[in-house]
Parts: sequence; C-alpha cells; structure tokens
Amino acid sequence: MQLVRFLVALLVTTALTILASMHAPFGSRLPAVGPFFSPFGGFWQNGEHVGKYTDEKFDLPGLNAPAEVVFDERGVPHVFASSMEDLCYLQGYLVARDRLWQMDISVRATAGRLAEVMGERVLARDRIQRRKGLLTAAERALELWEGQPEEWSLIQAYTAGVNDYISNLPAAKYPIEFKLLGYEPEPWTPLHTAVIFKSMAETLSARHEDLQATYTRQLVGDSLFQFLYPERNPDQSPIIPESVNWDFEPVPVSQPRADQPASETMMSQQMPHLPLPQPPPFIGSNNWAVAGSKTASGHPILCNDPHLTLTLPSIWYEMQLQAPGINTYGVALPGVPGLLIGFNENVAWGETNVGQDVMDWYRVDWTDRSRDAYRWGTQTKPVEKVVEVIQVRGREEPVLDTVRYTEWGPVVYEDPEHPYYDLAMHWLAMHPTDQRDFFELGTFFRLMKAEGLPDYLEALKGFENPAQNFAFASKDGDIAITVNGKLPLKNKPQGRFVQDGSDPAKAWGGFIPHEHLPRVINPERGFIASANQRSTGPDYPYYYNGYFDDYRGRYLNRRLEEMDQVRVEDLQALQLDNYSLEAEEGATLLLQLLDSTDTELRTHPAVQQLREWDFRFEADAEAPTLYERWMEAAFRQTFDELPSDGEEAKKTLYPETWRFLALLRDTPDHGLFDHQETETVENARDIVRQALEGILTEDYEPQAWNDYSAPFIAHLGRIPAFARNDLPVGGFHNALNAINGGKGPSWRMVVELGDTPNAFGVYPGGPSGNPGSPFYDNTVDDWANGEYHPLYLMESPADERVAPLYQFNLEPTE
Amino acid sequence: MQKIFSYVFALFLGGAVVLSLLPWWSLPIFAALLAFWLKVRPGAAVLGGLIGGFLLWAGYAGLLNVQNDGLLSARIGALLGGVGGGMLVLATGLIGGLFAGLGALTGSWAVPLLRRSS
Repeated sequence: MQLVRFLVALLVTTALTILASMHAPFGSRLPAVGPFFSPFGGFWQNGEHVGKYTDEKFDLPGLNAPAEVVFDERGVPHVFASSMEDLCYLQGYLVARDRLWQMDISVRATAGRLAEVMGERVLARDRIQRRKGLLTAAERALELWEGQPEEWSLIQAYTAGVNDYISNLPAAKYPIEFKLLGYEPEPWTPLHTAVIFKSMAETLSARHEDLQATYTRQLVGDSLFQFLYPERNPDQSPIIPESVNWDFEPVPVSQPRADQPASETMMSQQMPHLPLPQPPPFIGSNNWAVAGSKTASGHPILCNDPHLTLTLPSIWYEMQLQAPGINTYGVALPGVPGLLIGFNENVAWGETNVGQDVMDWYRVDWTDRSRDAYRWGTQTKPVEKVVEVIQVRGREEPVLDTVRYTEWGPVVYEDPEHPYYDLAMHWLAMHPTDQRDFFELGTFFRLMKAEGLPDYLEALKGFENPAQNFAFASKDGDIAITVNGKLPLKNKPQGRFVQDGSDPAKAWGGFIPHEHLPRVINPERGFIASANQRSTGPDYPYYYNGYFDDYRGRYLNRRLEEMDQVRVEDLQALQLDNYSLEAEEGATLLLQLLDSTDTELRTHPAVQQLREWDFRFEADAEAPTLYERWMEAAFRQTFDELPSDGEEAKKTLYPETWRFLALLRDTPDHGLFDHQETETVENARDIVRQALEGILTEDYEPQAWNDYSAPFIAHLGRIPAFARNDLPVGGFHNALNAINGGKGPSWRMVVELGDTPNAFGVYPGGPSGNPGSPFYDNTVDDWANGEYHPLYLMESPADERVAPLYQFNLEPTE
Repeated sequence: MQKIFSYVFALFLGGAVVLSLLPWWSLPIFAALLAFWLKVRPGAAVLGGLIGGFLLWAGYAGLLNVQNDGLLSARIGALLGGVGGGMLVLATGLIGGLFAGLGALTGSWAVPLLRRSS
C-alpha cells in the first residue's frame, strides 16, 4: 500500500513535470509552462533592472585592441575602436545583444526556415520562400563577397562579434521570443548576412504586376487597357529635373519580335489562386538635400525618411562608429555590418527606393509533360533541379521539394491549378552579379568614410540591388542624387506582361551602364529630392516600367521650390507635413462634380466641413475621413465592372489613383462611369453623388482621421501584447508624412553640414528588442509627437555633449 | 510544526541555489529529496512544499517585477489574456508551490518504504 501510493505520487509528479516541460502541449501554441514561468530561467529573467545602469569592464576574445562603448541617455551606443575590424566586431556584438531574435527570425523568414522552429503551420510559407530562390540568391551573393578581401574581413569580424555574444549568453537570458517559441539561437554565419541583404531586395524590389496586367488586358481588351493604365503620369515631377541633358550615346537595345498580341496564350486557363504575395504597397520614402544657397546658414542640409512596415523592434539600429579614419553616425540593419543611412563630419547620405520593375515572368514552353526540358529558341534545354531540404519541427524527416530552374529563373509554383504554374520568375536579385571591385557593403563603407563628392560617386559603383535613389550632401557645398542600381535594358512594354519564355530574345538586353544612370549634381534649383516617383522625364533614352509615386514627389518639389532661407526646423516640419496633393486635387474635383448635380447633400454639414478642409491629414480632423471614404467609394463604383472581391479581384489590376482623378476631370461622360447593369446611363457626376449618398446616410457618424486610419506598430513576430496601437498621429500615404496603417517613416533624419554636423533624428522604437526593457519603445512617443533627438557625432568617449548612461570598457582577451 | 518551518526555510534557500544552477524541473526533485532527508510527514510535506515553492517562485518573480517596474509583466499579462503583473506573480508562485508540493509528497511517502526495507 505504501509502495503503491509512493509510486502514484512519483508517477503523477513526473508526468506533470514532463507535461510542464513540453513546448506547445496538445497542439496549442503555449510555451512550456515550467521553464517559461520559472523566475530562475523563464520570462521573468528578461525584465531589465530599470534604472540600474553601471559601467562594465570586460574582455572580448575577438578584439585586437582596447575599445570603449558609450551608451547615451536613449541607450544608443557610440563605439570607439582601433580598427575597422574591431568596429565591425563590436557592431556585431552590440546588435546581437540588443536584437538577437530579430536577426534570427529575419533570416528564417527570408530563407524559408521558419518551419524548423514553428512547425507545420508555416511550411507553406517556407516552401514559397525557397521556391522564390532567396536562399540560393544569398548563396550566390556570398560567393562574390568571399572574393573581395576587404569586405570579407569586415563580414567575418561582424560574424565573430555576434557569435561571441551568443556563446556567452546563458539560456536564462535568451530573448523572450526564443522562450515563447521554445528554441535556441543558432550561430551566426556570413550567409545570414547575405540573407538579410536579400530580404531587403525582397521588400524593395520584388513588386510585379505582370500577371494582373496580363489578366486585366485580356478582360478589358487592349485599347481600353491602354486607356485605363497608361504607363506615365503626364503631371509627374521626376527625380531628375527635366532641364538635365543626357549627354551620352545610349547603348542600343536589341529589338525583339513583337510580343504575341493574344495575352491568353501567356495565361493558364484557370486562375483560381492568389498571386505571389506582394510586398506591401505604399512602401516609399523621401529624401532631399538643399544647397547652401537656399539655407539660412549657408550650409547644405540633407534629409531622409524611409517609409517601411513599422515594427517593434525597429528595422533600424541607431549607432555611432568611430575608428582611425572613420567617424560616422546613422542607422544599421541588424545583421549587416556598417550603416545604411547616416553622416560623418563631411558628408551625409540617404536612400529612397527606386520603383523600376526588376521581376518579370516568362511562360515556359515544356517539351513534354515531364517538365524536365523546355524550348529555348531552336534548341531544347534541360531544367536544373534543385532539391530544397526543409526541416520541420515535429517531423522526423525533412520535407524535400524539387525546384526547376530555367535560364530565366525558378518555376516557383508546382500546383497545376495555380495561375503561376509554368511561369518562370526572372528577378534581378537572383541574377548572377558581375564581378566588381567591391559590392554593396563596400558602397556603404565608402560612404561612411566619404570626404566629398568624388568618394560618393566612386562608392555608388558597387551597389546593384535593390536600386536606390542615393541622396548626398557635403560640407564642401555639393549636393547630388543618383538613381543607382542595376537596371535592365528593356524595350517597351517589356516586363509589363507575362512573356514567351521560349524566345531567348525576350531577355533583358543587358543593363544600363553605370555612367548612364539618372543623376544630377548641384542643380540650378538648389535642391535634389526624391519620393519614389519616376526617375526621369520622357526624354531619358532608356525605357523602364515600374511602380512610382504620383503625389509626394510633386508636392516635395513644389515645396522645396517655394522655400528659401531654409532652416533645420523647416525641413523637420516638411518631413512631418500631412498635406496631401492627392486630396487637394481629389477633394476639389469631387466637390466640383457634386456641385454640378442638384443633390441636397451639397449643403450637408460634413460636406461643408470638407469644403473648408486644408487637405491635411491631421489626427483629429474629420474631413480627411470623409474624403478617403468618398474617394474609395467613387473608385469602387466606377470600376464595378472589374471583379471587386474574392479571388478574381486579387488577380485584377486596378487603375492608379492619379488616372482615376484624370478620368473624373477630363472625361466625366465616358462610358466607363456607367453601371452596365442599370437601365439609366450614369456619368461621373452620378457616380460621385451616389458614392456620397452611400456614406452620408441618416446614421452617418463623423470620425476623426486617427480613429479611422488606426495606425499601429506591430511586433515583428505579430505578438499583439508587444505592439503599440496607441499612436496619436495623422499622416497619409500620399502625404510626405506617409503614415498608413502599419507603415510609415521608420527613421527621420535631418543633417546640416556646417563646421560640425548639426544633426537630428528619431525612429519609432528603441535600441533594445526586449519587451522587458525600458529601451524597447522609448522613442515611440517622441516619434509620434513629431520630436527629434540631437545626434552627436562624439569626438571621443569623453565628449561632453553626451552624458553617458553607462559605458563598456573593453579589452582583448589575453 | 517546527518541521514545516525548517522544511520551508531549507526549501527556499536550497531551492534558490539549486534553481540557479539547474533547470526548472530540479524544483520537484529537490523538494522530494529534502522531504525524504528531513523525514517530513506527508501533510507537512505538502503544506511545506506549497508554501516554500510559492515563496521561492513568487518572491523571486516579485523582486524581478519590482526591479523591472512591472514593464514586462504588463506585456506578458496582456499576452496571456489580460492578467495584471500582480496576478502573474501569484500564478508563478502557485506553479512553484504545486511542483514543490508534489515533489515533497513523493519524497515524504518514500520515507516509510526505506525504513521498512532497512
């Protein structure tokens, strides 16, 4: 009896202990209860001791010489090292200390390795990432990097820094997301850095509408298609002013045979699935530089605010890096050595994305049903089969997936029902890179050290993809902008529609030579600027298609043209400007059309409010909400003949906003405004009135813009409790302050290049990725309130402008 | 009664040392070994284990929570369906108490077995 009760107790205790040690018990997503709650190793250990910041002195094995790190009151590290290698080593160490899980999950998400730690539920996503070839592309990039000794040594130093942090990290101190998901950090490798680079390419250069355009052209016919979807907005104000002459002889672009007119030959018969997930729209950015001739101080000022999906932890890691021959401040991408946007005492630089389409789709002409070979001109070619090995948590054996690679690139989809079945993806990020003297990292390291314009011009030669508009200003008084990257030579309308993959002549005709890339240096108008709009006016000798902004760029150029005696504060205000040119034109037009009808709604109080609106998307204003709802409804009702919901809508291309406004303005009696199912013939005036009637019903309640737009900053792992949803901000995707739902300015920087840089910056986040740290989101409120922090390029660790919160005194391990 | 006090005391101090070095499941094992070694009666073992485990886990969690200004517990509490930081400390204590109590009972019931065999 005594034995039995003992055995029962032993059994129950053991069983419960095992159960409480199990991650995700019974298929739930719960962390293992015992280890997670244990205050000795679980989540409690991630709570930082608030207010206790003491100087630390310790050894690091990878250092070659003593170094110091000063953390300022916001927790931003200022690193002082004796060599570039030590600098990169410490950057790796610090970024790992603050952002280890972010680095880990970003690599997994891009390379298609999430299922390793999250199991079956993310397997489909991993498969697509693999089939898109991101891991393969990273491996190719790495091979090139290895051949460049300078960059390679910096990558290795960075890698060692990350790994020296990880190897001394007790399990109790693993970032909390590792504990929630129940896995451990893995060692960092240079391949991980290459993958992070490709994730940037994926975010910024993977937009494609080939299939939607092909489908929609088939639906509406070519002539209506050309009418609704013109490639160029005549009102655009390009990045390179139209006064610039192209004083070069363009390289000839071979003229392939005309594309088959019947797009249906390029389509699968059925299109029941979603297209490839697109990078989120409205990712854009602003940068500009104003010459000393236009500023109050006489010194040039450079500004940059990249708009991206806002996350906690932030995509950026702010820091200063100093070593002999370099002293620079800016923001880094966790996982990548160096700074991507920043300044030193001589120059400042910043990027916006270039919208050129560099992902095209080709229909593969298989020789037989085995899909092992395809036609390529007069010959046949075998596919190269790459087997992707995907480890899945909870499965004994890995999942094997064979991907067919053609000359164009991978055949991404295997499901015969899928609309992309038989289509090969041709994407610049996968294209074997030419051998160059240096690569993307070399570009940023040259910018970090740059002393003036020649260094900037030289640095850009290494940067290929994702193409960026690199803005530049120097203390010498130079300003410049270059539409920089590897941009394919295309024939109109190459790359707009799905193309015939059996014709080698359909390939890109090479690339625009670096020296022919759109660029302007010290223009007469005294400023350079970009906001993701078209790079050039129509006279640029090379054809390109893509995805371009239509309003921010025009407004930015207009404002900079008007401004004079510019001060830093004026440009901060411009970054925070909620004025929308789209609304200026759109609201005016909607009201004009409404006033030409006899509806009583013309005197509705909400409409009166809209008449008095200043076109600013301020947080507490109600007019912008009505405008946005009205515009959306009018758009929907105009294009009601296009599929509006479900699977069909997802493969349809809708006209751009600027085109819709032009149609309302120029052709209000066009047949496309007619609802085909009604007997009466509607025109634009009817549509606009009906759209408003649908909103201003009897139970209409006005709503503040902030309530309607509900901006938020998500946690990178989509854990709602780690996100911020309480942002009292305005903004609009077609305003310079392009806050839009979960996207917006991810880093605002303003740098005046005087005797010493007068620099300001803010980002919605904090240095730490730890939700248990006061530095997790310590600058979110400042960002939301439109405040900036002074950015001090410290001369030494003793620079008195910065009061250190704490500091590291580091020695090489004996 | 005095036995409970000394058991709780030993569990609290010894547990702090053991758990700093070993994974969380060393708690029930240590509670069992301690109850066996001190020959604690079953009733006292359960009570002592509950109290000692609770104090150890809730105490340490509470200390960390105070040092952290409740920043993290507010977020974890929200993640677990809207519990406050105090509740989270309490829940942590109960989990510690449960496993220490179970371990203690097992250890206590092992005492007569060994006595008989010897």
